[in-house]
Amino acid sequence: MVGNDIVDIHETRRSSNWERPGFLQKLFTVKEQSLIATSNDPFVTLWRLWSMKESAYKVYIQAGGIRFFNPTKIECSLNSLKIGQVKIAAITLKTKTSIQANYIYSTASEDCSTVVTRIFKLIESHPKKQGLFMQEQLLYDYAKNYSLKLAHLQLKKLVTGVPVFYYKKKPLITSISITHHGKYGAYSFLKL
Amino acid sequence: MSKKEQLISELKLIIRPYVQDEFAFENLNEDTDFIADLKINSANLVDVILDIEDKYDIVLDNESMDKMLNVKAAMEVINTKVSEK
Repeated sequence: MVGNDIVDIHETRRSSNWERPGFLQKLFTVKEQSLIATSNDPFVTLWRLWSMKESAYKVYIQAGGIRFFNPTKIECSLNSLKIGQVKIAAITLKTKTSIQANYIYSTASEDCSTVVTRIFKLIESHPKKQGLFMQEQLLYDYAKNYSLKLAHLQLKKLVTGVPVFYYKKKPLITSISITHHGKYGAYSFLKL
Repeated sequence: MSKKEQLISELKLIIRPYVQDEFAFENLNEDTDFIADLKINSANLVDVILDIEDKYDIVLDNESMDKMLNVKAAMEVINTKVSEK
């Protein structure tokens, strides 16, 4: 399974005040807070850790986990500038993060080497329209990648919000994750 | 206005700045989900929680935060914490 999360740096500067009292304590464990405090760029480290947690949470939900809101129950550790690890409930995942000038993008999976990702700069600003745009792109690219007929390929969302591909009305065994934030969006899926 | 209605209108004021789906906000009710319906960014959900703590002078521990996914749960958590004061 794969989960992903993108953080638009400009958007997050606008919409979140991370220096607000209590903010870090609600989002991060004591260990993570010290990773942030001692890093060269606390802002980037914070949002990197956050995107790791979000992407791991998406895998947890795909795996049938029950929804919760308590980011401190998801624990991150960092191996390098790109690679990290996240523990959520009984699951431990590897993460891969790309830190760019405009966005931070993370994926979480059992094995990062099999993940296919595409990142977009979005024109639409409404979250719903962004979501639809991402879905169309993913359908198109996936059909092309696996020589499937686009007309027979569908993307449905389960009640949990997890996206699933259907081909000729049968579910495909794969894992997909879609994210958008501010002006950026991305999808990731597992290579079969 | 009943106590419940008052609490909902207070909550609406708190969550207003973080909402990304206006339609869902106009139709807000007890079953409205903060993330699925209102499209509140999950990092901003922490702001909602901090705003609630400030407004009602309560502390939401991890256990209470866990449930804070919709309006109904938020109301229950606030009522419990306020009555414990």
